[in-house]
Amino acid sequence: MIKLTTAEGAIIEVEREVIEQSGTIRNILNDVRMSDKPIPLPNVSGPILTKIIQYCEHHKNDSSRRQLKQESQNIENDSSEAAIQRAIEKMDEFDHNFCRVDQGTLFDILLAANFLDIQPLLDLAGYTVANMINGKTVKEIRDTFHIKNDFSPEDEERVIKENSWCENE
Amino acid sequence: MASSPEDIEAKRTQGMKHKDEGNTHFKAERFQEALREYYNALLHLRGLNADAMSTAIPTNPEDMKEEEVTEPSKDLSVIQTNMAACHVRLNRPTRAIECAQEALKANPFNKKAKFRLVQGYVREGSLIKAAKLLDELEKDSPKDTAFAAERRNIAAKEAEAEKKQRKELAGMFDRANK
Repeated sequence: MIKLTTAEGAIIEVEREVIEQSGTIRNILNDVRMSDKPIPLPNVSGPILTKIIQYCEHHKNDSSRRQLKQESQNIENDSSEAAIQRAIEKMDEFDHNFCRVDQGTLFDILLAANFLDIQPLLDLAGYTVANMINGKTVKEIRDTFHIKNDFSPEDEERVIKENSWCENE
Repeated sequence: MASSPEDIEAKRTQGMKHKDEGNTHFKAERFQEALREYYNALLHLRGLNADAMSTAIPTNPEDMKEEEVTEPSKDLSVIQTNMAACHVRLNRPTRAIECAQEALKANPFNKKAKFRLVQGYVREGSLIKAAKLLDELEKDSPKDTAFAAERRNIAAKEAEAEKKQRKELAGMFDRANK
């Protein structure tokens, strides 16, 4: 069993084979003898870590998860379209339900997946965010994600003009 | 999971402390301990100033300009470069290469990281990749002694490989005629 310390200082135990889906943790376990001391994760809160462990538990038997980093880097050299397709095909019902959370939690999961190097979860969260953006106008995107408009009116005019070629009519 | 600025400062300080401890161990050639401290540093520093949108849609390292590399990214890159150095000394070329590549993802302009990558390639036997990257580095710093040392390593390995090949092929035609 591997011990992890959350941002709040709580210690969570998890099976090695479950948490090794995190490239970061797998590297730590292989490179260094951490002995009995828990691995500190000061940038991951308890609730988020719990969600992530849930994800890893569900997927622990997926053989494709055991990919070495080298292999997955080779695959990434394909067109990103193909890579995205492959990622989407791998998503099951659990994955879709997993992402039915509030925006704040979704973003935290995305950051943690990046930090812990869990590519499939990063794909899943990224795909979910992309879907939230897809088809929205600029204003709608700002409203959805609470993004402040920091363009001056002239700048905004200019950017809209520069990008008008990709607007569908 | 938004942290207050004081929180972030505290974690950054703690992370840099671990990095300094790692450096101390490295100088004393305690590479395992150095690695442990560098990992602790990474865990404290990574994800600190991350914002979700740029994580979801990351900038292509090839498109980054040198001024765009943030201080936190530079710090991460240094730590990962040092980890690569540990792996070189611990004879783990694959891990050295991985760490050096991570370092370059954070800061594509980190020359030391490129050098560790060269060292990884040399020890892995990817001599052509190593030589190509070393050419780039030597262009900017032709007199660097560390670069020269790796040049000699490459030359030595190439000579070794050639010798081995000659031995294997020697007498090939004699064997065929027997």
